[in-house]
Amino acid sequence: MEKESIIRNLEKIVGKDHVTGEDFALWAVQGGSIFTVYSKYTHYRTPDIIVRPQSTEDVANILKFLNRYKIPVRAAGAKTGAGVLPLYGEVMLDMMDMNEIIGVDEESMTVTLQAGCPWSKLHTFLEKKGYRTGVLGPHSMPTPSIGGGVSWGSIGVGGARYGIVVDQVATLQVVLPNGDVLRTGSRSNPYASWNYRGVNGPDLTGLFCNQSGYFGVITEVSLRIYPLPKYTSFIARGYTNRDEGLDAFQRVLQSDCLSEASYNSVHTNRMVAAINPQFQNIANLEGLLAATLEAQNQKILEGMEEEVNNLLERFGGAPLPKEAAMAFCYDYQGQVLPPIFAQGGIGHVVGMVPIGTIKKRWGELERYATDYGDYCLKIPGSEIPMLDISAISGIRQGLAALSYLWFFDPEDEIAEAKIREAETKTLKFMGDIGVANCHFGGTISPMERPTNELLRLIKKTVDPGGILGIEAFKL
Amino acid sequence: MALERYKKQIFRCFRCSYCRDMISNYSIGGILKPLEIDGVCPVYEEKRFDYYTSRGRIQTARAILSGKLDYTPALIDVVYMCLSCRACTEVCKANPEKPFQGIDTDKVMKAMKEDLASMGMGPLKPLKDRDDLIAERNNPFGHPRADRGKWAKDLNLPDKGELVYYPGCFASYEATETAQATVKTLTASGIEVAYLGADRERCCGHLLIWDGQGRIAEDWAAQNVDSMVKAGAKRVVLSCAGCYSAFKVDYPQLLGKLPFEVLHISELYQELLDQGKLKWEREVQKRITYHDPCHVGRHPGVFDPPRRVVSSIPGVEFVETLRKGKHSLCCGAGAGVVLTGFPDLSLGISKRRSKELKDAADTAVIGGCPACVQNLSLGAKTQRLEMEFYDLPILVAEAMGYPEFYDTHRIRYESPRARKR
Repeated sequence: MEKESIIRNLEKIVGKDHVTGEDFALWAVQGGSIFTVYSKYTHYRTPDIIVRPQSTEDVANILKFLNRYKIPVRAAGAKTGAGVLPLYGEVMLDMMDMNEIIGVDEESMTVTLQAGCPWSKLHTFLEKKGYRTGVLGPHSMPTPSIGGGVSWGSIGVGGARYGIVVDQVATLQVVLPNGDVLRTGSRSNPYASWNYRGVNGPDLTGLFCNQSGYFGVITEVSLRIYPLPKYTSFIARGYTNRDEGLDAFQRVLQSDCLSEASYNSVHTNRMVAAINPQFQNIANLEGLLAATLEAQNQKILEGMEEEVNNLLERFGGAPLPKEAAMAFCYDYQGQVLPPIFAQGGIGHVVGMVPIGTIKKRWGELERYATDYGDYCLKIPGSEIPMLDISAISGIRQGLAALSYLWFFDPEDEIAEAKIREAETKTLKFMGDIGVANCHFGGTISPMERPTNELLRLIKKTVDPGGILGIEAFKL
Repeated sequence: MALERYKKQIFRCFRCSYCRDMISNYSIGGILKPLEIDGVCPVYEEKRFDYYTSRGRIQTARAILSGKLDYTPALIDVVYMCLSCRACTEVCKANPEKPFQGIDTDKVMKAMKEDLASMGMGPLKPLKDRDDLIAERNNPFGHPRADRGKWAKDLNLPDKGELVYYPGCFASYEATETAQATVKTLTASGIEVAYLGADRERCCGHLLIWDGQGRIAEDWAAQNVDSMVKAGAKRVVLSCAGCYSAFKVDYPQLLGKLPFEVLHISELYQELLDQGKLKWEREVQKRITYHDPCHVGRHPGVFDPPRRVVSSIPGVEFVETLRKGKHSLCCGAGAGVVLTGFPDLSLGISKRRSKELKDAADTAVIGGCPACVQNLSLGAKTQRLEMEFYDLPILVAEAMGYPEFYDTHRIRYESPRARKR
C-alpha cells in the first residue's frame, strides 16, 4: 500500500491532526539518547509515518488496519532510550498522547496509568498523595515513558530494594497485532478493578514485560506503590583499592538495608571530577560507593545506618560527604550526567550480573571498554579517554547493573562506527560470561534452543504477520 | 550558513526530552526541591508532534546541517512557529560550552530564519509585509511616522539628558497610557526624563531580529545608539519587553558594548523604591499575580524587581502562578513572529496562560510588555474570563495616586451579568 494511502486510512482512525508523513517530522524523532546499538545507526533511519493514538481503541483500530496489510509498526514512548528501532517503510506509533494517570487503588496499593505517561509526571502526582513507586525510573533522566520502561526492561533508581521496573509491574493492558485488547493478572477478570500479578493463571504480565514491543503494544500499566519514606540518609565511601570497594558493595547490598546503591570506577570518577568541580575530591579514587537508606521510623533508619557503617568499616575505604551519595544515588540526572552527556555522542551497554562475577571479571570487562579509548573524547586537560564504567545500580541483594558508556565526537563518523563495534563486542562478551541483558530487542546473549523456539512460537501466534518486528528472533 | 555557528550544540543534544516532558525531578520525601512546572514547550502543548519541541527542532537542524533534509514550506512554517521563549533552554542541561546550561534553541531557530531570509525563503509573507511597513513608517501598525511623539505632546520633555526614556512603537502608538504613566511616575519620583522625539527615535528592530532580518535591524540599532549618545544618555530606560531585550541583549551582539546602561522600567522602579523616592499614595486593594514576559525574564534575566515593586504596594495581595519566573509560560506572541504569522496558535497559547493567571488571581500585572498585555487580554476575553490586566507602569501610576490612570489598565473582560450589577 502506498504511503499516502496509509496516511489517509490512519487519519480516518485518529483524525488528520494526529498523523504525519512529513520528512522533517520523521527526522525529528530519530534516535534515543543512548542504547544506540539497539537502534542501529538511528541518526540515519527514520520511520515513514508517525501516528499518535489517543486511546486504547485507537491503538486497536490502528493495529487491525496495519495487520491486514502487513505494514510494519513499532510503538515508541519518549524516544529517550532503547525503545526506538525504526526500519524503513514503518509506522511509528507515538504513544506520548496517552499519558494520563488513571488512578490510585489504595486497596491493592497500585497506580494505573497510560503507557505514555513519563516518570516525572507520575512522581509529581504520587508525591502529592503521599506515595512513591518502588523503582523511580532511569538514573539518567525522569522523562522516559513508563510503558517504554516496562517494554524494554529498564533499571532505575531504587533498585537495591525494589529491583528493576518490571519487578514492580502488577498488571498490564496490551493490544495485540490483530487488535485484541487483553488485560493481565487480576485484571484478566473483568469483574476485578484491583491489580495483582501472578494470579488467574500463568504470568502473562511477565510475558509482555521486557518484550521490547515484539508481542504487543502496552497501553496501560499498573505499578505497585509505597508510602513515601519519612526518613532518608546517604552514605558515600571512597576506595583506593578497587576490589576492596567491590567487596564492600557486595556486602552492603546483602545487608538488605539499602534502597539504592551504586559503585563507580576510577574511569567514572576521573571524568566526573574533571567536568564537575564540585566532585574534585573523587578524581583519584579507584572506587566510589554511594548508598541511600530509607525508613518510616527514625530509630529503624539509625539502626540501618549503624549496620551499614559497621559493615563498611571492615572493608577499608574512607567516608565521603553525603552530598556525593545524594548526587550519585538520587540526583545523577541533575548533578552528574548532564555536562558529561553534553560532551558528545554516547555508546552504551548495560547488563545485570551477580556482584561476585564482577569482581572476578572486572579486569576483562574493563578491557573491552578501554581498548576503544583511542576513539573516545578525552577528559578536558588530559589524554585520558572519557569512559564511564560502573555498577550503576545494585539490584536487590547481590546483583548489579553493570554499565558502560563511551563518549565520542558525534561529528566523527569513524569514531562512531568504532564505538558501535565496542558496544557489540562488549555485549557479546558479557553474554558469554552469563550477564543478563536488560533489553531483549537486539540482544546477542546466548539463548538455549528450547527458550528461543518457545519465543518464536509465541511470536508466530500473537504476531503471525510479523508487523511488530522480527529481528530479535532472527527469522 | 548561520546554522553552522551552532553545530556543536546541535550535534550534542542527547535527546533527553526534558524540553518536552520535564515536569519534576525526583523529589521523593523532599530530598530534592521539586521542579513542578507542568509542561515546557507551549507550542508542543498545542500541537503535540515532537518536531515542535526543542529536541525535535534540534534534530531537524542536525538533518539540515548533515545535508539529509531540505527546507520545505511545511518545515519553514514549523521554524517560524517557535516562540523563542527559551522555556526549553531553562530545563535543558546539554550545552557543551556551558556546563549545566541549556542549548540555545531560540538562537538555533533564529539562525535558521536568517538562512531562510538569505535564501529568499523567509520571512513568511505576513512578517515580511509587517517588516516593510516598519521600514516605511517606523512602526508596525501603519500609523504616520510623525505621530510617534504625540503621546508626549503635553509633557514638555527635554530631548537631552542623562536618563532617556525609550517607549518603543507599541507605547508610542497603541498603548500611550503606558508611556505617559512611565514618564509621570518617574518625574514624580524626582527623575528628570528625556525623550528623543519622533524624529530621532527609530523602531528598535526587535521584530526583525527575531524573524530573521537582523541585518536590516542592525542599521536601526546603530541609529538608536547614535541618537542616545548625542542626547547625552548615560542610562536608557525602557517599558517594553521587546525593546528592552533588543537594547540589552541584541544590540551588544550586533554593535559591541553600548556606551550607556540599559534598564527595564521595573529595575528603575526598584531602585527608586530602595531609595525611598517611589512613594505610594493610594492603596490598591487587589489580589494580583504577575506574568513574566519572556523578553524581560528568561532572555535578559529580570525576575525579582517587578515582583518587589508590585508586592510593596499597600493593599496588594501578591500571589504567584504555578509556572512563574524562569519557568513562566509564554503569552503566545512569540517575539511578534507567532502572533503575526500564526494568530490561531498564538491565541491558543494565550488562552492557556490567561487561564493560569486567572486561577491565581483576578488581576494580572505584566512586567512591561504591551504585546503580552494585548495577547493575554485577548486570550482571557475569548474564554470570557473576568479579569483585568495591568502594564506595570500603569499599576505604579495608580498606586502613586494619578487618577487619570485609574481605569486605563489594559482590557478588562466583564460578563454582561457583571456589567449590569
